[in-house]
Amino acid sequence: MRRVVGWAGAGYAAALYGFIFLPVAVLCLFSFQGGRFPIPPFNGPSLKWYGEVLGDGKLVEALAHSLLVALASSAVACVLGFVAAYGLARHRLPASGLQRALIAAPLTVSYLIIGLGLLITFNAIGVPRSLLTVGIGHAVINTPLCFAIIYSQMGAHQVNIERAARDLGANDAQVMWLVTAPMLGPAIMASYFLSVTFSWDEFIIAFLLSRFDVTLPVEIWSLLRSGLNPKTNAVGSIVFLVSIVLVLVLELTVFRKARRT
Amino acid sequence: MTADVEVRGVTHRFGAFAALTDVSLTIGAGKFAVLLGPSGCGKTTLLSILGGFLTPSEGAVLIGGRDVTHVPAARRPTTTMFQDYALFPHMTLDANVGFGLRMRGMARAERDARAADMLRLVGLTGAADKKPHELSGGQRQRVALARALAVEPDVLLLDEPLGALDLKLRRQMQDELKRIQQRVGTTFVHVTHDQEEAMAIADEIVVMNAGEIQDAGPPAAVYLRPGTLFAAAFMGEANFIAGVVSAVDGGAVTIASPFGDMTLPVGAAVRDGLGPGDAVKLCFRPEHVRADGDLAVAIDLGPARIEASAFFGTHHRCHLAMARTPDARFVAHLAQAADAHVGREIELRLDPGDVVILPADEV
Repeated sequence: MRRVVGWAGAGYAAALYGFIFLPVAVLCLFSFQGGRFPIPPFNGPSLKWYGEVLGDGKLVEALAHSLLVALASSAVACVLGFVAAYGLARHRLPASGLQRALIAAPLTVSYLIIGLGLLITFNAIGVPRSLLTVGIGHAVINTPLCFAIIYSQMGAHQVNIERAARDLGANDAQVMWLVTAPMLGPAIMASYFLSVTFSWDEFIIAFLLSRFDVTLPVEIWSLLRSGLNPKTNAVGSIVFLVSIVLVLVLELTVFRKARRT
Repeated sequence: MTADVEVRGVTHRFGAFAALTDVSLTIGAGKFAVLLGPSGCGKTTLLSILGGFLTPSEGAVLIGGRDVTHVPAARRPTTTMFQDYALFPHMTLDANVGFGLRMRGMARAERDARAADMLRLVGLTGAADKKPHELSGGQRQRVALARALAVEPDVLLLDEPLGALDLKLRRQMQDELKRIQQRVGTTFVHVTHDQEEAMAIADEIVVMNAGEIQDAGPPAAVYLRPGTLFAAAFMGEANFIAGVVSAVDGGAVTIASPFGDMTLPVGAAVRDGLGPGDAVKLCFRPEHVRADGDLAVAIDLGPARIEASAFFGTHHRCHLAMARTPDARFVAHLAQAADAHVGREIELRLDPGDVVILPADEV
């Protein structure tokens, strides 16, 4: 009986992981397809399609755009999130509960709504769509995330440490820069890397707010319109690989360190 | 560097609650002062006001004769050693100790040298490159002290810094604090609720309760001639006898008590102007009880029975039931060599010089 339950459990686990990872595995597998179509039978492996991706100027350019937008918008989101968290955690502000809720609220709003809202706003004030507007859009969606992560790590035990710094002659900016930010280093790095991964493969906002220069997910989307081929699999695999690397870096640098100290 | 501290009529309210009520206090330059009192007595509030973390609702704070009431902590000639040490966890010890000097714009080489000096002063030579999490509690304590002293404050404020240490380490740190204070000559203001700690380190003890100063003075004076009933009870064990003044005659006061009339020198009263009919409390310490019965001029409290007894090394601590007043229980310290077995009857006497007359109208 126990054995049956054991087998059932193993079967369930296999089905669960299969459901989650099989599509990705299939995507990656057929990126090494030797022929022209990403469908069985598999006749590889071949790096031909990766060569095609790297040879495609538009795709490489889009990849660079995505990196730029992700790194820059995440930096902005981190700074805004940190300053907001510092203000709300350390100062008595009017309706601070409401303010916290308002900052975190975009986490629950669909990207489509945020993207449409920004598109209408930018049109109204005459800001042309560009990578800058995409970056602003990503900063909008990632600031609440950075705020929530950093705010959750701002405890009362740091208050006395900041007070000690002030007592020794530090002004507010010096306290924030020399004491608070380094103490919150792990939380800030975690929010930065998470924010980069979210921005890296975000599509809807990037699609609505970009025009001539586009990010990688938007470029992939236009590739897909001309039908499936192993090149889209190859570029998808690259996107996936970058996300995995970011998560690994986060795990190895930030979380390991946070556990050790 | 050192400076005197003066607190003038400070009142501080948190909403409707008055944490301090009209507190005035002077601490001489270079003194080791201890603010002593139970939790909630306002001692930490007073320390925060001295440090510049709170601005009092009323009154003024002067340091070295300069009014600093509205000067923020960063620009006061004070530093604080916090209860939880509040070291910078991401900095090495020399960066911690040198932080205040860095804020004052001192060059790196100079402040590293100074940090090394300070670490040597507190007995942490050669630990400059460690991080706070590598240290024990007692060592963190020393770093916090070195960091606070590195900027050469006029006044060092210590907020129950020894509370988290075990007893042995606490005794050791008390001696060390005293030694360092004498060496640097800075005025120290130390907050604690432990009266033994206060006695061990203070030049001056300030006893506080419910936002008011109850008594202030050198340890011996506060212990032997407490100014109020609260100070008497808080500064160690005390026995009290309620009485009423029946006559004041030249240099002597006669007090009617359940133990009969007692005549004491008028100097035993902590306040002047006692008159017949005033309710008083007579206070004496357990070690003032004389059981040998050979004192010529003595107050006779009559026979007592030892109800419980424990040997404390230097003395026997006994609970005594008094024959003349069946309700009264006194605590007495009998000599090491005395026979202190439970059930023994002794004749209890007091030297009038040991008794303090306190007004009875306070708690």
